[in-house]
Amino acid sequence: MRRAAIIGTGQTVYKTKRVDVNCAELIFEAARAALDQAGIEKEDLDAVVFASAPEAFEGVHAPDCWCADAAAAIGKPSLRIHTGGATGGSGALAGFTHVVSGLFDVVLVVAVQRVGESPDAQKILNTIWDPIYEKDFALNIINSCAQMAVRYMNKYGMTEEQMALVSVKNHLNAFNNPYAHLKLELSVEDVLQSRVLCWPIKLFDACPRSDGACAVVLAAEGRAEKYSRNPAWVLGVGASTDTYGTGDRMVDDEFDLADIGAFVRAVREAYKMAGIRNPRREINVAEIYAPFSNLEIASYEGLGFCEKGQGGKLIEDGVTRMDGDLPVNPSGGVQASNPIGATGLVRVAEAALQVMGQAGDRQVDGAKTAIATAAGGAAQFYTAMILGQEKP
Amino acid sequence: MSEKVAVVGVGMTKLEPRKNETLYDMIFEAASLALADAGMERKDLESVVLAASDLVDGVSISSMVTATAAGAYLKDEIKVADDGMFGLAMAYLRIRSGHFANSIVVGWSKCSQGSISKITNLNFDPFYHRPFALNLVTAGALQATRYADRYGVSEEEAARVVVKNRSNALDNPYACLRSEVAMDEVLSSRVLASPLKEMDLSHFCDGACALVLAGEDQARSLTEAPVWIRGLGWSTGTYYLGDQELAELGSLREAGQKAYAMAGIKVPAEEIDLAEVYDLTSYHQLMALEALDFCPPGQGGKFFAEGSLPINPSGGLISSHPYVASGLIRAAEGALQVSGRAEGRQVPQAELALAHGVSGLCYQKNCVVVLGR
Amino acid sequence: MNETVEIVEIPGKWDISYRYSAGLTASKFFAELKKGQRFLATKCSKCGRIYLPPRSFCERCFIKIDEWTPLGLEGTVETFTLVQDKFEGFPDPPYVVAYVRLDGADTAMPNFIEGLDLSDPKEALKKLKIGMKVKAVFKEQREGRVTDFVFKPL
Repeated sequence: MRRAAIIGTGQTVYKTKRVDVNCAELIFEAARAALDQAGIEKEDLDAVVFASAPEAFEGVHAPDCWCADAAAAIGKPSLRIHTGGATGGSGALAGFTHVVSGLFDVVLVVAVQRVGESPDAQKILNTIWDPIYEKDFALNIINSCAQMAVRYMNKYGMTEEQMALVSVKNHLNAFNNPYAHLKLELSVEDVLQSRVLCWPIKLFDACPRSDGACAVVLAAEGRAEKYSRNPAWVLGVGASTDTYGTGDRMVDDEFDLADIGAFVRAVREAYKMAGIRNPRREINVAEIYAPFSNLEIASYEGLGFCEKGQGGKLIEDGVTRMDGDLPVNPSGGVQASNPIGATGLVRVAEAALQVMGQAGDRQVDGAKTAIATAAGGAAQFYTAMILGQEKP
Repeated sequence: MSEKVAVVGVGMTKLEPRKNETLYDMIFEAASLALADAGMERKDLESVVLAASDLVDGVSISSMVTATAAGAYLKDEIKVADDGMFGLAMAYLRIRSGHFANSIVVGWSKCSQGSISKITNLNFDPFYHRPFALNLVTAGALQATRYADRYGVSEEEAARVVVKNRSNALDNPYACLRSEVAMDEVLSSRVLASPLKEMDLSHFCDGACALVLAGEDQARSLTEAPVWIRGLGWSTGTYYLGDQELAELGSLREAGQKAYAMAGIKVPAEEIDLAEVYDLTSYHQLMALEALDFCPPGQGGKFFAEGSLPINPSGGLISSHPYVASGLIRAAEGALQVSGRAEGRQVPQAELALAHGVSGLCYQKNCVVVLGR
Repeated sequence: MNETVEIVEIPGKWDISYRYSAGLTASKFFAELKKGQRFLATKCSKCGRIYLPPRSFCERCFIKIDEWTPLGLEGTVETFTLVQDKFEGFPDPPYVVAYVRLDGADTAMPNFIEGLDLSDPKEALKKLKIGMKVKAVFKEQREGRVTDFVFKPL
């Protein structure tokens, strides 16, 4: 099977609202930066994958069509991927598929979200719910994830303090990231005292809304080595989709709502493909899609970094801090910046930068193998991508 | 190279207003039919590709509520927010990558539940375009005006397309509009936006379509008559209507050339046995025939009148247009034709079929597939 | 089990407000429409392509554009349509939507053409032609938007 590697990435600075550019211009910034880092021109591209999540945010139907020029897609095969919050991750996987299919050698993946275009973000997120059975119950992403947190606490005894540690870590890591949105020096007490949104999720446990775009260039083996001295090789990929109804995930043989079963399946696929048997040892750095503190803790277990229910202890022991054994979210993660549809691709870009040794102040020393994950819907869609320095 | 991926199963709902059902009922029907047709069960599926539009579905991230109806529970699933034909392209790439032995691709729309006019007005950016009463129809009208002017295309040449497509639909049990119309009926129908008359337009309806694709080995074990994807190509044009020659469907020409190159086709009019093209309007069907190189630019009307090539034996979009599903339905129809299962609308000795799907307005993105025995 | 079930249709409406960021380039263009009643196009320094409405990057050279060039008020109709039906969300017919390429621009931009007698559509269509010359006429009350002007036949 053909191999592929990431040879360049580009990001925009994440802010609540980028008033200086329209959506197309935002994409152009990221796309141009990715081409520059890869050392290529748009003529070198064979295809483009455009990733963006609910267009109710942009307020324009089919933003990929409107912004085709900015995505360097004109005259090229292009299509749009949309899997909710997992969009950026699915886009990366689709880009990988394009290259590995043998039909395309160099592919650009761009992802964007204009979260700041509407002041009514929750109204927009409310349009997700099935009008037949659920829309009337003021459901949104926050209270869905809060319900997962409660379930997890009940099953494994996770504490609010453990959740707070995640938030403290990520907001502090963000200071090392020139693109990050929320850079905050917080104490556990600060987090615990912050406004409760949907218990147990508090303000500082939650992610911000950020405008942003990200782009990644993938190239096939044979080409990747020509463009980059240290490309980030794709070692493994995986994806899995869970059932829609949160209520349908309460009874399961292996996983229940608290254990994020589909996430585990996606990650397992990726590990299998990459030949990874002991993730705790073989993964050096992780960029995971966790918009809320409790999801990062549950993800540690899903990633195989610890046993079930031990995620809280892992953060307490400092293992996932920048100075720990296995740093998680050196970029600050999703709690620092969340340009929804782009966020999953940002995880991939950050993981690539780590493996390519180009992560600047947030570089994890000796990072050889990294994993990037994305999550979408109400914890329904999951993707995972493993990158490494050595060609598989 | 051309026998790597095949269509091994086809499933379609009847295309009509389906007010008694939810989106997922409709999707489940199409997916189930396709799996049954392939002789497969859901457990055999390795990949699911969805094609849909949030705004048309009236639900953001509509794949949340619909994915499992398409068979995606605990499967590797991805959603393409483009016409269903692009979903087919994604499924094709997945199988070619060697990571998946098969994939289902499902596309759908329920046009009866919303306003296509308002939704497609939202395709236009609010800065330079949206205030100018631009939607799918009026933008299509701008394109048709340009085409008709450039080549002297008469309203009769366009009306002929409507008469023929509607007549073809009589033999298609899935079609929405199944009644003949006469030339003078079309010519005297109400002008909506010049030159487009009401009857020149595609007919929006509800429907879902699913195809099961499989790689060579599995395809041969599932069926004795796999329908091979011999050629596939897609391309993107500019969004700005004012930046291009609207009378030429440039990205369709590019997509067609790629598909033909892969399939080794040099003279489409001679080698293709039938074409299911995307007929957003009667004028667009003629433009598509030219861009697909069946005839020289401007000769679409003449070529169509000659009748040498069966075009849209299904009745096309003019008879049934479940928006996002329409391109995938063209592929489904092509597959049925090539496998000799098109019943009353069967084109005799159909060995090579072309199918065409479109995303975006004014044919900005096009995907073309060539299917063969 | 013989009772017929009444099918339910649940009404819904999306009521979402926006404040679209036009960006610096469009903002400058709009400001000039309002104050100067003038069209500013952008020009790519590499290929020389002149964009109106203006873009901040050239899609062909894929570089940023920062060169501005003013254009006149006259242009040519590249295509049009006479809308005769009421579309949901749109004005009452009849009206003319067209793409006009101002002299000197490489691209055309959309707007309404006013000042035509549309009472008899067939007659009106005899007068509307691709290639006809029109002139941009600015409104008295301008907001700094693309609707600050309309086109009228010369």
